[in-house]
Amino acid sequence: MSRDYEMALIVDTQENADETVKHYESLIAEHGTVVNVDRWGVRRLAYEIQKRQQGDYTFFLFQADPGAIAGVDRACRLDEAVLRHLILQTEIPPQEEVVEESPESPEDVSDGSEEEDAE
Amino acid sequence: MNRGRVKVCHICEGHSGACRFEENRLDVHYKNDRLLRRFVTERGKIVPRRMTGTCAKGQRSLVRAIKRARFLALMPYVNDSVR
Repeated sequence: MSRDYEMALIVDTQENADETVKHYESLIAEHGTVVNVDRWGVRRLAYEIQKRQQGDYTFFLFQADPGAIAGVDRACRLDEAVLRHLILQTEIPPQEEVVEESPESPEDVSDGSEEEDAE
Repeated sequence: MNRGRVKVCHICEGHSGACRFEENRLDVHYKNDRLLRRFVTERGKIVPRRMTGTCAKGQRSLVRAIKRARFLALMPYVNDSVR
């Protein structure tokens, strides 16, 4: 029984952020399905974290079974490239199911309460 | 008691009584720091409900979002750069 989660990730700009993001994307994919990866890129921090003034922000939206979350959290905690991370339970608004093979007839897409607004 | 003044809640634009509409007017989310900054003083402190006129439910979701935004360094805990 998988639940909807979202994870915020701030990666150290001196590390290879793309690599880290891919690493966590695949890590999540092992235990669930990644619905959306929202990459904000480098942004100034409101306050210093580990002597850094900037951080590379990425937001994941995914579904996973609850057991797997502890593993992801642990990985983030141990990873020096990750300055900060936050994993939350959320509801992913029902979207059109993206099907590789024959696209099903898309049901009417009800607009979710939180639509993605580009920052 | 305040017969004249009916409090309109910014979050859901409804009267503070029955104001929790299904789709609330404002997208209160920790990522939406542009919106959240409107509910924070210059020093970075959260503005109390009585000043912003938001409803209890709106204020609770607001506070939760602001605290998460602070954790993710999207917003400052204290804004001492402001003289």
